[in-house]
Amino acid sequence: MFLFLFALLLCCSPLSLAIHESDVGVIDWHKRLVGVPLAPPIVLHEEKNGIPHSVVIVPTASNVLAALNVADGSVAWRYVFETTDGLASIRVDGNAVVALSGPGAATLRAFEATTGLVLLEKRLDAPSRTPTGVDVAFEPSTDTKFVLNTHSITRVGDTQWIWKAEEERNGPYSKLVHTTRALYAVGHAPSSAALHLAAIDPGTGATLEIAWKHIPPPVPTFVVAADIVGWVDPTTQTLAFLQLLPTLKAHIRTEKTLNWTAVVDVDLQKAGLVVGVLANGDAKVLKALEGGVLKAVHTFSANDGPQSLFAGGMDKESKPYIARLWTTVSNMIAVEFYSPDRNMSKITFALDAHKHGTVTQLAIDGTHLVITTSTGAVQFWDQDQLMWGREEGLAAIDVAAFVELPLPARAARADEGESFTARLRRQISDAKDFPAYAVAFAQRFATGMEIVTAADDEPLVRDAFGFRQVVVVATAYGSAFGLDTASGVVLWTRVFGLGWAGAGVGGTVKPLKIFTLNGEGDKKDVVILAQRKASNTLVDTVLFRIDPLTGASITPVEEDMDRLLEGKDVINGPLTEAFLIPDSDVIILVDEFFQINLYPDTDESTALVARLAPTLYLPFTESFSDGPRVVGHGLKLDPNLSDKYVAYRTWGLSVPHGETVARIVRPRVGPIASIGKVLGNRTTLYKYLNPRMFVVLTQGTQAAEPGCGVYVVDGAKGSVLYSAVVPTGGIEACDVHATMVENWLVYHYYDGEGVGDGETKGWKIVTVELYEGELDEKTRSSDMSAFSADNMQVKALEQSYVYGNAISAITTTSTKFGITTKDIIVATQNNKIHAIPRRMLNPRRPKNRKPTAEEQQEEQLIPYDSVIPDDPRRTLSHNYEVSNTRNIITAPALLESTSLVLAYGLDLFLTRVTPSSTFDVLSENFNKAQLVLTVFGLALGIVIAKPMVSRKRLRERWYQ
Amino acid sequence: MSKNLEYSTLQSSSKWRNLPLPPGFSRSTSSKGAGKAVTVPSPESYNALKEKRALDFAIAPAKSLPMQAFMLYMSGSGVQIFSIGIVFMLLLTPFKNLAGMNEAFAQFAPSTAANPKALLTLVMQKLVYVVCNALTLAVGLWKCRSMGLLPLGTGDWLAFETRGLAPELTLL
Repeated sequence: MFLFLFALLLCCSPLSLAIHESDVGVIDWHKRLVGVPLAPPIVLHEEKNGIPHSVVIVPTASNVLAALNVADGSVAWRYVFETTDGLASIRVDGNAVVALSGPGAATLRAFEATTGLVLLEKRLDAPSRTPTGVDVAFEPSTDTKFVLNTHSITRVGDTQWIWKAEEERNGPYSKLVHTTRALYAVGHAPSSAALHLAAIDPGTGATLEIAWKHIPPPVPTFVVAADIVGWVDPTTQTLAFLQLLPTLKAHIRTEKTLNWTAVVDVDLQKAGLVVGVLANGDAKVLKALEGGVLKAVHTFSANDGPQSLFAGGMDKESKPYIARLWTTVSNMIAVEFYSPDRNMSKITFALDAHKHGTVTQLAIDGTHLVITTSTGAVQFWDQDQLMWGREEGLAAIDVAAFVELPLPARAARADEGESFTARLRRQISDAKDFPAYAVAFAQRFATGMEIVTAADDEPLVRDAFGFRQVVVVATAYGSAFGLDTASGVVLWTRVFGLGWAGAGVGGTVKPLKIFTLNGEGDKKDVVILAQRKASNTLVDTVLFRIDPLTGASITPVEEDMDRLLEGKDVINGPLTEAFLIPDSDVIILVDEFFQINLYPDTDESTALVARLAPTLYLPFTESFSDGPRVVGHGLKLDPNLSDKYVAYRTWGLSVPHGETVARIVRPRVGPIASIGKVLGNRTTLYKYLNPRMFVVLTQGTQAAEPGCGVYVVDGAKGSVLYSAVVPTGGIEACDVHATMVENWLVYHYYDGEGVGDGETKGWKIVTVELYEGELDEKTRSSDMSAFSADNMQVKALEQSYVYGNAISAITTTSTKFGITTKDIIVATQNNKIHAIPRRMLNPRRPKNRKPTAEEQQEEQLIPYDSVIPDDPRRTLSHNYEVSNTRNIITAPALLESTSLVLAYGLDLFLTRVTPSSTFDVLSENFNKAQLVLTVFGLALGIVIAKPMVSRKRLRERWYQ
Repeated sequence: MSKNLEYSTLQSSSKWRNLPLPPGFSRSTSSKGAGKAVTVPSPESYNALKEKRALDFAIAPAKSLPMQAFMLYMSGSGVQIFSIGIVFMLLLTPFKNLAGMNEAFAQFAPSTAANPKALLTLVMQKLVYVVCNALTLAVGLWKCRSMGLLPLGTGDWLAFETRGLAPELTLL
């Protein structure tokens, strides 16, 4: 009967390779992000077929040019520039967005503002030096563009010309002004205190006039309104301005009656409006009038806040608006609007500084506001109503960790010392949940699906399979987020406080490391180690210990979460490295003097370290004059010098001359289900499971024989257990990605040297498995001392394959008990997340022969093939575009078969993978109804047949 | 339901020998008409006959071996219900046979034996019987091995190997 059931099970669970269409959006989610704006966004209005369509154009720090729909904040389009094609500048004119990018800002692209279609892509002459100023001017009502790049101007359009200035005497230029009479290039060199001007014929590119004006004290910046160049002399606090004439003969005029501190460009050059700021806090809107005069048309009176942001913009009717934004003493955001034709209006609204930080950029569209905050959030406000917000800080995640949720309160509180009556009462009260449970059970039974709910009102508790967890991420913008893995919803947002640097000093907090520790009960705590760089150049290491469910700080205990997250200063200086001692909740922090600081700094942790110190080794990279090196350290305590343990050098990894250490790849730790690999003929290859080994990637592009090194190193004595040198691929920096788990190392590189017979250029992926020796040979590597003679006995099996894609991140899946096969997850350069099955990367795949029957049956070996096929069914990311992935992290679910995968970079993508298929749950199409009907049918048969049989027996007894 | 045929009543050693005959039954009636001398087999020849029968019985398992080997060959090396059934039979019957050996050989015990169920009666035949059963068992084990059911390789014992903690700890 059992065999029959088993056979039935096997028949009903076909190996599913790809994700099902119905699973998309159920088991995975994808957040399409654009990055934190670099410059104030620009709002554009477009009418298409009578339907108005407004977008916000943002150039971002993630090297993306994107347009967000004003209606809902969704991404209308985005253009992700290549890493080598850095976005330098954008300009918007009418329906076109023009971007300059690449080395020397020499690539010009024009995009249609609402659709993102590339209208024009052109490579211009790259300047010989790094450009200091780029600008684009547009000829009205034609497609002609003038591109300024430091010393040259290129006309792009029907007629083309290039104008070049003599570099020594003229320029650099940074601003281009197009008027009906001439095209002017304006620039200033702060060092030489000169304003350079050039007037050019826009039609022919002929030089009309070149001149430079001496402006005695160097000025930091200048602005252009209509055809007037204006600047503020910081020493005399005077406003100076100059009209641009084709002859360049105009004189500099000054305005000395008021104490000016700055002029601010509000992107209203055509309307001729700029803002001048006065020393008393007033701000004047200055308008360029005919005849080359700047006139104050409006005054924003001094406000109660520290600093103001100004922004200008056109509304749908092309009416100019200027806004001033400041933070009031009562921590409200106040905005005043000015428009030449309308009455001034003022709004105030509250922005949660403890959630979003402070406003760093402002853009306006009429009286609507688009603000960027210091945590990277982009928000659209209509009056004092928040219409939408985007957490673009998530495009700059530095560290991330999965955290398991605690058990439901009901299951967790079944404590021992409960009296009988109390238990009875509890169980009766729990019985009220039974109908809901029954309904859920029936539903689960009928649909065969475990529904991971993500409703807002649901408490954050562990689900049956552990699919619902919290991802805690910390971003480069000094904020931390809690994300629900079931839906991708942001559960909480915290902004890191600056500690002592908060009051008046200022600074930045950059997350370095994240650890998960055991907290109270069965809860987990997240520890984020961050580096706080105060504005006065003091660096501290701060530790934030937070509750992953709410984001509340645990130490120091915090009652009120409506404040900045304050941590604990653990080191008064930079952190060199931090380690978590396994099977404990103690973190070792190594400071710049290699002193060991413990967290938590308790007697228990001191005792633990004292006990472990003689056999504890800490390998990490240290900077030397010839570059970083990997150095191993032991711990010692010298009571005469310090009461802290000190890490002293015990070994250094020697790499060939000219090679420098690029990166350390730490092995992925997890339970090891098997210490050997059983072959088809029942013999065993014992895995080399040295728990101290890690991978070092080196860079030898400057070496005599260029190559990128891959080393597997023993952490206790620095001996190299495996090494390989792969080609550099003809590029500056080595682009090797590696991951290691148990005894399995996989690395990926670009091989540009395959010129031999039958070799190809391309990306290669190499799989290496380390064993203790030949068949059935064992050295007990996992519990052997590093100083044992057998420690160096390693046999590496390796094979290399051609892989079709460049990758940007690589990792392995991880499961609860480590029994499930581990697949490799890679983020490819073509914006996909791929899984490469373990079977493909088995280094025992037989070459030039067929696998034997035993190998086929028992090991499932397939013949070696030099190419790993690009199987679209193995694409985890469906048709989502997961761009610029920097890292992938995986975490086990409660189901052994399943692993959670989170890819972060520009986008966020989370899915579940089952490398050995879901062997521990019934497949969805398992015919439960049939099974139940069969069981019921048999039971019914018994019920009917039993009296009949007993009657018959009785009769037999009588009449025999 | 089965009734044991008590052949031993015919034997001189039967304990029923001294009972009076049933009424109307005469020992001599059957042989009277023939007029021949009743040739009662001597106990010695009877014992020899029994010994021969015992030897036949002892090598019976070996005789069925070719048949069983053919069945094994036909059942294939896959782990299926049919082959498993046959293998189980092959593995179990030798032990069952050996457990019941003394009982089985008791009927062939010579009349001189003090205790027909003693291990040492018919010891030679019993040894042959053991060897033949061992042959059957060997065939069964060979089949197990070819099906991959015998834990002979190191891989079969891998799960029982344990490893401790390494003496040095490297934090990574």
